[in-house]
Amino acid sequence: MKEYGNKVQLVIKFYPYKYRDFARISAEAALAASDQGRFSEMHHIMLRKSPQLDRTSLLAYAKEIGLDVEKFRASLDTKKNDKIIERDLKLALDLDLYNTPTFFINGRRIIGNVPYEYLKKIVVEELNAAKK
Amino acid sequence: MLRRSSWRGLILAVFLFSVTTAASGGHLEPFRSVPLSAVNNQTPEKVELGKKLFFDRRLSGDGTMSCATCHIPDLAFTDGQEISLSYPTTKNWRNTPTLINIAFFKNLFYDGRVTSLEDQALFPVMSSFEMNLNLDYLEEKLRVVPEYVDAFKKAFGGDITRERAAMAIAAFERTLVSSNAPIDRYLGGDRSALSADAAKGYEIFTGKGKCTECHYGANLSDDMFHALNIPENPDHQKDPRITATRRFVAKVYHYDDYANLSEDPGRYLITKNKKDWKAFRTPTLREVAKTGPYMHNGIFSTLDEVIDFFDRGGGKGNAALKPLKLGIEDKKHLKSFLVEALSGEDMPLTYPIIP
Amino acid sequence: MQGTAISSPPPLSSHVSGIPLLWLGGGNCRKNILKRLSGLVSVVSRVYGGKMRKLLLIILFAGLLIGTASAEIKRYTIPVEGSPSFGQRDAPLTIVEFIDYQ
Repeated sequence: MKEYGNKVQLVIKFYPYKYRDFARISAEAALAASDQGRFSEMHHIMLRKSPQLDRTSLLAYAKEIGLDVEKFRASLDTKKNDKIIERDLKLALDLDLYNTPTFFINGRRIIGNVPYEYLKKIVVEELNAAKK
Repeated sequence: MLRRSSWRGLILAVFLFSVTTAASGGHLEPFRSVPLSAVNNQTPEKVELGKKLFFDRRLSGDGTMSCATCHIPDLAFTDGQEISLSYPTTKNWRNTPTLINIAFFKNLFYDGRVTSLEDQALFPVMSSFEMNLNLDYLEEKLRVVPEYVDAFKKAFGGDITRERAAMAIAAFERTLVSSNAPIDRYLGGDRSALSADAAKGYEIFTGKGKCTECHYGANLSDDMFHALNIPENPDHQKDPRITATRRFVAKVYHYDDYANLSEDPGRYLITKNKKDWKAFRTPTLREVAKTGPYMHNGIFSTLDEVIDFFDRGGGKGNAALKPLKLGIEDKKHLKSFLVEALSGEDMPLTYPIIP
Repeated sequence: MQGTAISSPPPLSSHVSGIPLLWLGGGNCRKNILKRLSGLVSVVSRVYGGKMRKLLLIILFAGLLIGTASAEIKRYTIPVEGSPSFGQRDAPLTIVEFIDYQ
């Protein structure tokens, strides 16, 4: 995003692995923050602090980035955004995804934690193709 | 009864014939059928179980990786990287080889350290820089999953063991084949199966390109080891994580000077035979258009670079290759052959539902 | 066992958009396309003569090659409504990331 700015839209879909204890709750946290218009900050703080993503830590991060913590807590506890996570999970299964991260760059699938240079090469190809 | 001199002549003739045949390689053959194991009979239950295990991230220490993380179906079961994707915080030291037609090989891995798919399957699972899972723990992880208990009973009639997990994965891997490629139809007599460009490339491949000295048979590989002195990648040599992996592997294989090792010794680590220094197994060329980057260290991004390498006579100081002196058109035709002729039909693959 | 995995063909879990589909339909699709193209070439040849036919053949051949090269990339259509995002909605490039924070 830093490098390509207004040429790229990055859309986040949630695909929490059922055997990672905090994968689901951190997806809930991201959406709870999004409800308060602060998705970006929560997204980045969780990426930095992972795997420290237990409930207590998430509440602390919410406080750190200036969220309404009570609203945030209620959202986690009531699983307010469960439907969105289920929707994304179903989509991932329909797409036969088996790994995270998986990227779709203008629909081109790239699987795994690939080096930035590899992603960049594809981004450049796609941007050039989009110009034509 | 032959005289002694006649026997000598006959033995000499047989010897010379064998040597020249070995030196000249072989010929291409169309795909017919997949070699199966004599000790691990192929059943649908084993294949299904093996497929689940292949895609299951449970088989890694931190749940981030499965076999399919590096062996991606879309990319002919490679991962499109110079160096294989690795366990978090580590780095592998070699390129991901394709699993396409892996059933054809006796020698597995670039250095041939194992000779059966059953022996190969769990190496990456326990490797510190790949999936990093203790095999005792693997067994217990699988035993608490009712679907796996059931699947192992159906496939093997008994309990979950690491050996059976390996057999199931191997059974699945034996189904990964490239078939009905244009070369198969061409060799079967359909002269329209290759474009004129690719047909010229076939002539070069089997003629002055001398490719069939090592790339022959249905699998386009002699399954042997050759030291071509493929250049090292200086970035890899400097990368501390790759260096750590290289030296770790050398230590495990009792290479005395592992602490200072700055290049990949290839099969030498396994055999300690000088002739195997920097020798690597000939890969298949099936689906080669999809399996880049190329060579054991992914040093060549394109087939053009690979062709140029062989045209030059290989790496500096190697004894296996001589310059080919191919023209620009020759190289173009050869590349067309590689891309067009060796790409088979899309393999049907239903992704498993992981329990 | 000849040539195929022991499993039935996959259900269509993806659909393709945005690129020439010339070669994606498999053998029958290619045959139909080639049949129609050869029909077109015959018509052009009758109406405009041999030189135009040659030109058309060259253009078609080049197009098929380009189609082949770009049709190798499989693309998926991913719905993005209702998902958090960064950047502008109308950006020329959309990256969808399926993420697990842990």
